[in-house]
Amino acid sequence: MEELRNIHHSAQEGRLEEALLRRVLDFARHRPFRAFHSLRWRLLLGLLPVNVEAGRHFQEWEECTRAEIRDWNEMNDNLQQRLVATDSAVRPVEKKGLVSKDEFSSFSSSSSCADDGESRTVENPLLPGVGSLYALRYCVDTIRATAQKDLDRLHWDFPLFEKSTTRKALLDIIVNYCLRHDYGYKQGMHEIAAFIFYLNHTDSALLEEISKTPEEADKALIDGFCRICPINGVMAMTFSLFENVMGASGLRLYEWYHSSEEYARDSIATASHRTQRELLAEFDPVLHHQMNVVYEIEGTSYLIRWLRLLYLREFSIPQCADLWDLFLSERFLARHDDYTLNNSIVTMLAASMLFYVKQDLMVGCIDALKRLMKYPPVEDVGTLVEMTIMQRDPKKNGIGRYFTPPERHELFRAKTPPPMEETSALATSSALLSPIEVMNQQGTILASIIARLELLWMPSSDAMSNDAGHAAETHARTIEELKKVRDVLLFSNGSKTHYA
Amino acid sequence: MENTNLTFKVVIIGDSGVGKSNLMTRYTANEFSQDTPATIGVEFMTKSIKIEGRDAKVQIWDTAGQERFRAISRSIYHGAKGAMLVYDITNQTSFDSIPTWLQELRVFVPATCSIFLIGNKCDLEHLRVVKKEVADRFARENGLSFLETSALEKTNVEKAFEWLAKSVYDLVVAPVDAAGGRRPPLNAAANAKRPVNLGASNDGQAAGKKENTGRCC
Repeated sequence: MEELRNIHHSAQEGRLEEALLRRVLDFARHRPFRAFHSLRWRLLLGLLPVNVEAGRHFQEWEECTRAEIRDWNEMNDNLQQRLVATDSAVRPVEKKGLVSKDEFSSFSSSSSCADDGESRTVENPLLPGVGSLYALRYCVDTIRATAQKDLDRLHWDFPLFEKSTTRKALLDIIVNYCLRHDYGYKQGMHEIAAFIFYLNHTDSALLEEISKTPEEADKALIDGFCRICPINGVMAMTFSLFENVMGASGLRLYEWYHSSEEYARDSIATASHRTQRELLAEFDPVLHHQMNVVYEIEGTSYLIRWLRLLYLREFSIPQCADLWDLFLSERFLARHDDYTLNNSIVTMLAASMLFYVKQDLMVGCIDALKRLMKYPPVEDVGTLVEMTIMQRDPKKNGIGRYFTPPERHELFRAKTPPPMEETSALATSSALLSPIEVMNQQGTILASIIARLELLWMPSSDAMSNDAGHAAETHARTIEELKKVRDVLLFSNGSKTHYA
Repeated sequence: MENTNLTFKVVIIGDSGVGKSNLMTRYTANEFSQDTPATIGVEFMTKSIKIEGRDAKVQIWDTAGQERFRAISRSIYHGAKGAMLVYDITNQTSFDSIPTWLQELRVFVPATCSIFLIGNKCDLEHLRVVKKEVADRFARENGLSFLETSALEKTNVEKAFEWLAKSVYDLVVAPVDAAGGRRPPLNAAANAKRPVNLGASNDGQAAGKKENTGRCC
C-alpha cells in the first residue's frame, strides 16, 4: 500500500519521475517482494506516462491500460480466427477431393471447377504463398512445438504455473510476439515471459484482494489502481511488457537472442567476451588475468545463461525483481539517447558478480567453472548493485544520483563466515588476500560511506522528510562503520584473522 | 608421464528435449529429474574415473539443443576429445537432425575426436519411431560408435561414457605414451584406426544381448 500511496501522491504533485527513481533505487530500506514491480516497470518503460499532468494520472493510465488490452485482444483474436480459417479451408478440399487452380500450380482444372466460387478461394496447400494461411499455420505450429516443450519443463514452485491456462497464456504471448516481429522462438524467451507474467499476476491479484476489504481512506486509491492493473488484463499487460523488454524501444534483449546473419558475430558472444575481458579488468586485474590467461575460460560458457535470462537462474525471484528495477531504471534515464545493451549495467553486474566470488574463482579452473555454472546464493543483492553502480557511475552524475546503498551492516554480514562446512575453505581463501586487496576492499567500503554522507548532506526536498527521522541513526551507524575500517587498516596483521 | 592425471573434455550435443542433460546428471551424480529445465548456454560437470588403471577426470559439457552454427559453438567445442550425438528414439525429427549436428561437429573438432551416436529414451519402446537398424547403419557409414540408452532407467549410460573414455584414451593418449611422450605426427593421428562400432560386432552383439536380456535394446 505504501508503494501505491507514494506513486499516487508524487504523481498528484507532478514530481513522479524523481520520486519513482529514488524509491526504485533505494536499497537501504526493506524491499518487499510485493512492491508492484510490474507497475514500476510499465512506468519506467513508458508504457504508462511518467510526465503526466499533475492530478490526471489515474485517467491517463487507465486509458493506456484499456488501449493495451484492446490491442492485445484484437491481435490475439485475429490470429485465432485466421487459424480457424486454415482448418476450415483444409476440410472442403479433403471432402470434395478437388485440386484448386492457382498461379503456382501446374495443374489445370476443368472449366466447371473454375467456375466454382469456393474453389477459387482455396489455396494449394503444397505451394503456400507468402502470408498465406498455410504458411501461418506452419509457422505457429513450429513455434508452439518448441516453446511448449520448454514451458512444460518450466517448474517454478508457484501454484500459478501448475495451471494449464497459464501455460496456454504464455504460449499465446510467445506466438504473437514471434509472429508480429518475425522472429523465431529461442530458448530462454519462455522464462522471460513467465517471469513478467508472474509479477503482473501477483500484483493484480494483490490489488484485487486488497480491494475487497479496503480502509475507507484508501478506497479511491485502490479503485484507481485496480483499473490500471486489472486481473483480466494480465495477458495484455504481460505481452506489452515482454514486447518492450525484448524490443528496440525498451531493453533490446532481442539483440542477445537473434542475430541478423547466421554466421555473423553474435551480440551475445560480443557481450560475453567484453564482460570477462574489459569490464573484469576494470574491476580486478588479478582476477581478470586468472580467468582469461591462466584458466582460458570462455565467457560464453556461463554468460549466455546469465545475460539471456537476465539472471533469473542465478538469483531468487524477488532478487531478480529488484535487479530488473535497476536495469529498467538505467533504460529510463537513457531516454532517447542511444542505449546499448552490450554496454549497459546488465553486463557490468556480471563483472561485479565475478569479483564478488573472487576467492572461489582463484582456487582452480575446475572449481571456478563449477562456481560459474552454479552461482552461490547471495543474501543481499543490494551489495552487488552498489558495486555495480559505483563502477558504472563513480561521480554519481547519472543513475548513481538516485541510488541509496544498502545499510553497511549488511555488507559486513555478507563477509562473515558461511556455514561450518565451508569455513575452513574460506579461511584458506581469505589468507590469500594480499594487503593491496584488503586496502581495496576497505577503500570500497569508505567510498560507499562517503556516498551515503553526501546524500544526507544534499538531500532533495522529497528525501528531506524521509531522511530527517533517520539522520541521527545513520550518523551513529556511520561512525561504527568508520571505526571498523580504521581497525582493519591499522592492525593489518589482524585483517586475515578478521576475515577468517 | 605415467603418473600424470588425465583430463578429457566431452561435449554432448543434439536436438532440444532428447535428454542430454539427464544423461550427464545420471552419469555424474546418478540423478534423473523430470523437472530438468531447458539448458540455456551450457552446463558443466565432472566425473573422476579410472581408465587402464590410471586416474582420469572427464569434463562433460552439456549444450543447449537450439544453438547451431553460431560463433558461440566454437568455444564450446574447443579442445573436445569426445562427443556424444544424442537423439530421441521416439522423435524422428531429432534423428533426422543428426547429420546436421555431425556436420557442425566436424567443422570444430579435430579428426581424432571420438564420436558416439546415442539413441536415448530406449525405455519408451512402445513409442519408438527410429529403428535401431537404421541408426546402426548410419553410425557405420559415418564411422561412429552407436549405443541406445535410457537415462530414466539408467540403461547403458555408464557403458556409453566408459566406452567413450576408453575410445578417447586409445585414440589420443595411448599413441602419445607409445611415442615416449612425443606427440605423433598429425597425419598419423588422422590415419589412426577409426573407432569400431562395438554394438555391431559379433562379440559385442553377443555380450550386449546377454547383458540386456529382458530389457530394451
